[in-house]
Amino acid sequence: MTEPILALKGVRKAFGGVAAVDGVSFEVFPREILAVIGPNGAGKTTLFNLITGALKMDEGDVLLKGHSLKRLAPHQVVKLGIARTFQNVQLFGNMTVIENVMVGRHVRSRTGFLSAALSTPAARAEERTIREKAMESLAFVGLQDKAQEPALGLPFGQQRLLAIARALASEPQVLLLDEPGAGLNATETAELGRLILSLREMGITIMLVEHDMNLVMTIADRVIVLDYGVLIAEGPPSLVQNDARVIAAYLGDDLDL
Amino acid sequence: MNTSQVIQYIVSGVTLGSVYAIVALGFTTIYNVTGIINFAQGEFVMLGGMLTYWLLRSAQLPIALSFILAILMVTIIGLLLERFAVRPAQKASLISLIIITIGASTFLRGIGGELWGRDAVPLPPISGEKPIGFLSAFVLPQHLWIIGIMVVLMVSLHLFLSYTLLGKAVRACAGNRYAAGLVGINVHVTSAFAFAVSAAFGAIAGIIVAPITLTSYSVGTMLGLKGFAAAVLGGLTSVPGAVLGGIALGLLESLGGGFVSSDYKDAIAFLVLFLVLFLRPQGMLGQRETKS
Amino acid sequence: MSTVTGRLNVRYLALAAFLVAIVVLPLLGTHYTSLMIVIGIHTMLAVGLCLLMGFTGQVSLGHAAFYGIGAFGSGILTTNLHLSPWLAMIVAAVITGLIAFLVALPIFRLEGHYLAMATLGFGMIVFIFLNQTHQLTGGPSGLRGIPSLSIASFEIDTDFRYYYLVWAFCLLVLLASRNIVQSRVGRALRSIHGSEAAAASLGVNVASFKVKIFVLSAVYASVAGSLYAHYTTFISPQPFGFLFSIRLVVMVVIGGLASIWGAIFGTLSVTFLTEFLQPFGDFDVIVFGLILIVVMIFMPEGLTFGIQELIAKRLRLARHGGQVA
Repeated sequence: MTEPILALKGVRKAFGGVAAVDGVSFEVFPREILAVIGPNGAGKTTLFNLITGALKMDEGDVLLKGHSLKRLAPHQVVKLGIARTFQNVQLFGNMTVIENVMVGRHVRSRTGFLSAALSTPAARAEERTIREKAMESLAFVGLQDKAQEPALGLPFGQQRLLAIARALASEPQVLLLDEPGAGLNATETAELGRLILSLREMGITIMLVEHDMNLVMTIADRVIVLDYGVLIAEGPPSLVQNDARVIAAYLGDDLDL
Repeated sequence: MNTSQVIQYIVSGVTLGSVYAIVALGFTTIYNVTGIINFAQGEFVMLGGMLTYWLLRSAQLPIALSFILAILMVTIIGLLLERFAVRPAQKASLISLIIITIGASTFLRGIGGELWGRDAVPLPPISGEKPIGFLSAFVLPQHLWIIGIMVVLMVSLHLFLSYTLLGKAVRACAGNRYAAGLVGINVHVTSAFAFAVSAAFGAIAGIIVAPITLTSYSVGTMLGLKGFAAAVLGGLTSVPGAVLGGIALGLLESLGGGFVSSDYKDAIAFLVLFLVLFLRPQGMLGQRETKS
Repeated sequence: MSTVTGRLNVRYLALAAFLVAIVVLPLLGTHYTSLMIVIGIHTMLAVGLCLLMGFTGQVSLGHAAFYGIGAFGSGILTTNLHLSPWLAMIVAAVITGLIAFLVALPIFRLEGHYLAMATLGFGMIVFIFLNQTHQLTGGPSGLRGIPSLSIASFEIDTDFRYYYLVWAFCLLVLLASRNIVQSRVGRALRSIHGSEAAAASLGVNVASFKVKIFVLSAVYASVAGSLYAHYTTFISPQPFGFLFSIRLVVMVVIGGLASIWGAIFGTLSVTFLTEFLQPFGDFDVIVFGLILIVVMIFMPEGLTFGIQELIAKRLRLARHGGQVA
């Protein structure tokens, strides 16, 4: 019986009386790929925000290997090993591709104002390490040749890959991907699927919010379904696909099955 | 401390507060319609007073005509500001917009200084200078005019916003600019209108306060900032809040200046601003704004 | 590839030329020496503000306040408490840093307009305080008799000597700032400007960085103020008000919001513009207002970047024979 790497217990978050996430509890096991699906507005991104500390939960708790994340600031959560990507990518438009990934190394490096100002040997050595590790992450997603380009100059599909490389550079144990497949064509989606599987090979646990059911069916080990902030189903993709409640929740909504 | 002193302070506090209230209404109007803080608001006040003085002295126009013409000219300046400084920067970042209105303020102030020099000048009061006894203190007719005009402006604005079509368009923009545009409201027109109203109000404030406090090319900065403090105190999203904030600030300044220290009187407005921003940013009557 | 190194060579050449010019200038005559001393002091202020505005996107409309606290700090500590000027400079910087820290903590919980207004309010409060606390600051008539700086027995009391002192400080500040910008810290700052949410999601402690950079820029301003006080040996609150804060913003806007070396250009431009427009009265203020409006509408990254972009575009067009790549 493996211990869960991530556990949510009764997480609740309301905005002005409306519960975006209402009493959600589930576990994520090491090296699994867990997909979070549900109609639009079901609370999936809010859930990610609560896990990473970008939003404070009203009730409940989230535990990383038994360690409560509830009171932590977002940067502390990253330090413990949870990284994420955004639905709308959110690249640093004022930087190059490699610089974006180097920011990902921020939490694994230490040079502060003083050492930086004085340009100490330690600072310069660390800068070299940051650049090397960043290039590794970039190479992992296949963008190493575009390192010096402005980040926003990349085609959209590659921007998504860059976002993943950036999150990867922080050496996460758990990676939260928010609709990584949105806006990708079939070829790019297949590439993405392979990439996520190889991330798992590296030992990373993946949670992804997705609307692309093909992708979900192909790579997810388990699926949880949210509707109006409530967890309505949980299990392997094939089971969930045929669950009556899930189908009911999606009725009237777009479903690319 | 004798009562007549207190009453005197209250009278001047309410009067000054009424001026702040009118300036604050300008800030609130523009903010509600466009989401911008117009740093140049204070300069409308300055221009109102200075243009009137210039029309009176140099152009030798009769008083009533000078008043009206000055208000009209400042309104046009407000429209020009909206058209050429604010509208082109629609998509700009917040920091850009802030800097732009600061630039406008600096520009107008500089022009004022060049055209009219640095001397402080008075304007004639509306109906003479004979003090009127009120309880145990004295009130100047101008004081009554200031308070009265403020009330008229506030009521007019309220009626306008509630009962006219353009007023409803303004309120729609205040609620949700994007949606207002989608349902066919001409956002540019309402934006221009907001600036016109703010400019006119500012000019009026400048004209009615000049007989008491004098006016010069540099009054805009302080009056603008204090008007802003009043607007924040009352709640930037609330029209009655602007008035409430104005009066409250006027009273605080007057009583504070009288009883605590007259040297630091000017600092009161900024302390109030600080306290409100940190303790209750939505002010007395404003709505809590969520991040978009 | 050749254009990249080509551009780099031009940059280094320009820098080298600039350094040579700095070293040689006082030997050419005294009129420009005192002007350049002021420019050196103002550049230190502009660099700090540039880091704050350009890299983290936070506006400060009250920066003159820190300049004033540094100047009066040094002035009061040396005249009333008879501290050595160097010690006074350090103490003043520490005090300024502390004040900046205390102000930053609550201020950065505000956003956008509210933040800008809070900095403005802060600047005003300090200005009023400097004017009103007569016993401490001498009130509007100011503080006089500030001693000059000296190294061992070598007194720095001529424009010639002061020039090299100020520019030594200024170049150190520029160098340190450039190092910061090109480091992990600089990247973190730029990431905050790029996307606060993404920066936080990658482990950047956004609040902490904002406070730190605010404090750093305040300390730069304080040191600049101390240097100013020891140069003029007499200070009044007048130069430390709202108008000077706006002047600083103009310097940063002209020099480029995110450009360290641009700060020099911005300061030079503003100072020379003022000199040039002196005979016309307050015309420089009018021009500055226009510059702020026009530059922010058409070149929000700052004038120097805007011009660079225009030139680059023209070059691209020329190279591709009229077809935009």
